[in-house]
Amino acid sequence: MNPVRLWRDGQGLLGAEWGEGQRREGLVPVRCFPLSAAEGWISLGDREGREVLLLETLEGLEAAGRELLLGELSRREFMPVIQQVLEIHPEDADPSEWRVITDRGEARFTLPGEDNVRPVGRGGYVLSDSHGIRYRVLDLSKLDTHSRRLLSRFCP
Amino acid sequence: MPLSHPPDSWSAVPSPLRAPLESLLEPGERVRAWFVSDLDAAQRFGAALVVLTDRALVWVDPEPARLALPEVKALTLEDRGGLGVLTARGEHRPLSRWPYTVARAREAAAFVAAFDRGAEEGVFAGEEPSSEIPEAEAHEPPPRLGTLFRLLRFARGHLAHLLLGVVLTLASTGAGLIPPYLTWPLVDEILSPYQEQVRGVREAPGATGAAVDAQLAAVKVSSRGRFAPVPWYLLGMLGAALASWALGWAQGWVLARLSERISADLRNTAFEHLQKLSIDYFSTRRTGDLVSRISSDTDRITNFLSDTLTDFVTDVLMIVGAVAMMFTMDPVLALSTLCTFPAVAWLTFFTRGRLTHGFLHGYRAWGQMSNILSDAIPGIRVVKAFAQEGREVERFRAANAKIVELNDRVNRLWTFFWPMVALLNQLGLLVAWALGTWRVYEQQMTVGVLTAFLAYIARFYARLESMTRMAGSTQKAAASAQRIFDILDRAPSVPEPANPVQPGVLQGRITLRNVGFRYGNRRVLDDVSLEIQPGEMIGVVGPTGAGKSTLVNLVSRFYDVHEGAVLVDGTDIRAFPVTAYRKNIGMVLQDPFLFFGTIADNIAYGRPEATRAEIVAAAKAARAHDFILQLPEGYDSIVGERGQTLSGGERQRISIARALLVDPRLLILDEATSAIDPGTERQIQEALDNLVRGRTTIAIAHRLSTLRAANRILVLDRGRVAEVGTHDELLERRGLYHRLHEAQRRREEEEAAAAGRVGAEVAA
Repeated sequence: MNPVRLWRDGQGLLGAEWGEGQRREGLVPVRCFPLSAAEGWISLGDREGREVLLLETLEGLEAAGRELLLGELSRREFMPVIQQVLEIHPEDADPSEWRVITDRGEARFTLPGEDNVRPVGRGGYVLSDSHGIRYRVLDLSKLDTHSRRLLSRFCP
Repeated sequence: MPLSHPPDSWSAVPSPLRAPLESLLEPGERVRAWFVSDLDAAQRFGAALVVLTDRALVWVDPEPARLALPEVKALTLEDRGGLGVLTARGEHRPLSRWPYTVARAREAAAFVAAFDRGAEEGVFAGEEPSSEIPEAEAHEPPPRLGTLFRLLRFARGHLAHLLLGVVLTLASTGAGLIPPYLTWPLVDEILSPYQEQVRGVREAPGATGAAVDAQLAAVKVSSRGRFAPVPWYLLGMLGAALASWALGWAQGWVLARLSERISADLRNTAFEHLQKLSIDYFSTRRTGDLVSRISSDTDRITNFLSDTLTDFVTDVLMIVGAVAMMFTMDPVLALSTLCTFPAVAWLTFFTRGRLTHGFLHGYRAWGQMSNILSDAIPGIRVVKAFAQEGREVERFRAANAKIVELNDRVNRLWTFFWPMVALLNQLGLLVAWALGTWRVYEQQMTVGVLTAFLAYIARFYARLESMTRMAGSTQKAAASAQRIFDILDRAPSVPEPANPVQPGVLQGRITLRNVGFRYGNRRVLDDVSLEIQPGEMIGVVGPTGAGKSTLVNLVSRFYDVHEGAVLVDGTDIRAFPVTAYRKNIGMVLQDPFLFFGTIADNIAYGRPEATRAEIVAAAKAARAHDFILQLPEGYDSIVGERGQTLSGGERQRISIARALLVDPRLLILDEATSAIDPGTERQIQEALDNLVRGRTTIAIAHRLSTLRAANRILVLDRGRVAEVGTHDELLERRGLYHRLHEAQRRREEEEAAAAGRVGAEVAA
């Protein structure tokens, strides 16, 4: 992997230099596989969404560039990770009101139905609430018993 | 015997047809070919035989007739609306005609081909031509009898399980038979003699109050020894009851597990078989009905296996056990109390057939209702757009009313049936009491035997009643099993070859050799021949109904040709295993179907093991990468039903990426660009150009401009090849292609002009 150098450009977007002196500014990073392979496969595109550079891994980046890239990505993403399910009401009907603790604090949302929960990888789930905000469960088996019991209807 | 060397299968012709003809043959005359029609000369159903020998056409219909070959200039076929006619033509006029239904069309064509071959060679001395069509695996349709017993095939994998279940059933039934047996000695050896003694004391002449009391007390003391075994008897009964409970529990659990597994196997097998069936099965079936067969019908069978069948087996064992006990105790009484049994058996038998019939009708109606659901739910946009909600509700109501009506009919019979059985059983019990009392009076029987006997007979009738109640669920299960075996018995109409040739990676040379095909009695393709070089792109154009889609369906082997052959790299495609052959084919259809799943899964559908790098590369080549990254979850976005909505052009590019990823040697594009707006057409065209490169491609297109990359263009008209050539050649020829091209150019100009006017108005 050729080394890639990243910096923040004048408009607050990313600039990149790679290969034999190729250089672009005004780049926006996007994850190709945000759920199944979030660590790699990051596409840098222009503001019209045309891809300029595709990073399969972050190995070619120096530490500062990597930090810049991940910071930029996390600024553009919002997908809280559920750490604990406090309450689901009602427990056996749709739609249901949820009260959860996530890595971004306590949250309440409405889940329209079981169809809004999809499994991702082993033990992982993504929930989309009534507004389309997505919440993640990284590994069901790592949650506490109470949360697991509440989730059992949605995460078989 | 006039035949010198009769070909083998000639003897397969039914002898009533064959014998009169053989007697007409001259010495040394040889049978070359024959045609058995299913219509006679008056066009009535029957059978008629025409034989082509090395000298003449010979037939009996109804009078023996013979046409010497030199007189026959040609044999011709025509068919229309299901009726075909084979005509022998002389120099100036038809000499004879043989009608047939299109069911015999292939044989008729083979007969004509044999005649033509002979005519070309000038002699009719050759051997019977060997069939070049690869032999297909034979599928024997199994018999329809005892559909439920056919479920046993699914028990084969669980023999140990089944055996354990049977043993437990036997044991628990046996335990249930013990308690009545223990009442017999309890009554006869302890209770009755004791009561006799007590009565003797009480009714002794001249007994006074105090003396009787003293004597009774004495009897009590002296009988203590006699009552000593009572706790043992009671313990025995308790033990039997406990054993029966524990064994019944174990048996229920084992058999429920077994039936759950059997029905899962059944569902898997049915779905697996369904996946193997060819496209034309699905084009004649409705989704709802198939779904209800695989889901509801298998569920009904599970219920039957886990509840009914278990109970049924227990009941049968219990009845057999009780009858055996009764006969060992008192054969005469046993025989007479069972007098109502034949009536019950007859009643059950009589009702059974009607019940199956009724339930089957009910399920068909249920399937109809599911069909309406599977129509109206996916088509909800159309329903709403045309404001036809009311009509759909009405349709559903009507289907539901039909279910109610049919079930009412069954229920009428059914509800009459089992109270009737209960009545007969009560009568049987009455007979037992009457006869038993009489036999005790005649001193042929003790009270203890009668008590035990009545306990058995009560069990007997209770079990019998429960069995007859099962008739319902048994017949339901039988009806369901039949619906599932309907699927399983269906042989794929694209059969696997008996001696498969592995295609491996094909080069991609396609040869169409005199290909003919018909749907029912409609001839769709007729004598289409074409040689396509590896890597060549052939455009297929023609008016609607010219047979374009049929042609690609034949090349992809969704159907098999009726006449001629499709060869790839010189091998008849019927000699390849179907799936191994299709792995060489990529297909991009007019309305690409995306499965419920992520975009990455959909692209990798034909090659699930593809790496992320390959998926991304395919998406890039298909010009899909950039729009995929616009979606919030990128390649992980869910598409398909309930998934992300994509435009027609986007879905098309995903399906192109899907085809690119399998890297097929043969590529079929069926109107791949027709549903696309001009804005994305350029991107699709670029994607297609990437896809077509280096692959043998057959592309169907309405819009002739999309075929600019084609090496040659095949113009079909009413199932026949009208023209073949390059775009320029065909334009020069000023034939059908030229007309199509002109018509399309005019239309495009008009559209452009109209758009221009609109544009001008907007600007003004």
